[in-house]
Amino acid sequence: MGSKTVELEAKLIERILGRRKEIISEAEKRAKEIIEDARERVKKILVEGRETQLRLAGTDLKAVRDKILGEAEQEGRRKLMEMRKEVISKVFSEAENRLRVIAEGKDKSVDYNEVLLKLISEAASAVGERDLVIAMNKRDIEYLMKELGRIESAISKALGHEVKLTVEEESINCLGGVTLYDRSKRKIFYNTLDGRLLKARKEMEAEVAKVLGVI
Amino acid sequence: MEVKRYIEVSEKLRRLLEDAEKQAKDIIAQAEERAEKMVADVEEEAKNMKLKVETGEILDELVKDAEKAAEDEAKKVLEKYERKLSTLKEIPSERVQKAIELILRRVLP
Repeated sequence: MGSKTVELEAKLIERILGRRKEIISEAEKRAKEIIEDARERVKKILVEGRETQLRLAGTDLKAVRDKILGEAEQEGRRKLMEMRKEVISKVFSEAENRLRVIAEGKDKSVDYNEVLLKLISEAASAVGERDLVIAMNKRDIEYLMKELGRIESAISKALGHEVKLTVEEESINCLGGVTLYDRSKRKIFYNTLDGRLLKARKEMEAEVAKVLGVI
Repeated sequence: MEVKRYIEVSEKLRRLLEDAEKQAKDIIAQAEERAEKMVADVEEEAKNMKLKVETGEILDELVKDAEKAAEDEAKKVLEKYERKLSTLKEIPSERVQKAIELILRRVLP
């Protein structure tokens, strides 16, 4: 056997072995692809299965979700409402303190005697009688007893007719202001600062909340 | 002599290739068989999953999962409200004063 023949034979064997390796490697690659595809299908089928489960149990699951989230929303809103109320209450409480200071004559920026005169005048006008009884707190009674004549004439002048004021001996418990009525007590007008504050609170909560920025 | 040897070698190499092709076919067939089984098993599982819901067997488990997911969401909802609450706790004093003045203007004649 010549050396050329041996060389050719070796090359042939090498080529065939290479081809053999190639065939096996291609098959392994294809097998891997087949398994990968199957894994993808498995994943998809499981997802679809889960989706089917969720769809079939949908109504029950939605009810559970709605209940839990609904309760959370409700609790959050309740806390928020409570906090808003608390903040607004604090502001009204502060306003009440300011009114107390004003009624005690300790706030120099407000003339409480003028305020009182306006409150009496407003009440007298609302009752519309000439002979009136006026109830106030102790401090204001003392002041009024001293100034009764002057106040009567100021009110008579403001209303355009004679007004006679009788001070109720028994004081009422309030920050300031008056309760005024006719002799028969058929017409009563409550014009205390406390009453006015209460009325303001009923009417102004939304307005105050807006100013505070808690709406 | 040389021709005979050549034929022998060629024959061996042809068989070698044939074996390789057979082996390759086996590899692919095995993979296909495995893949088919994987898919068949999971299809069976999916069928069972559906059946379990229909019979109510798995409902508790699904409800538990839904509860857990909803509770996580609910936590976020409450956190949102907590953030709003914390802003209410820090109202600037100018606004508070403005609100008090507004009330006093209404109360005082």
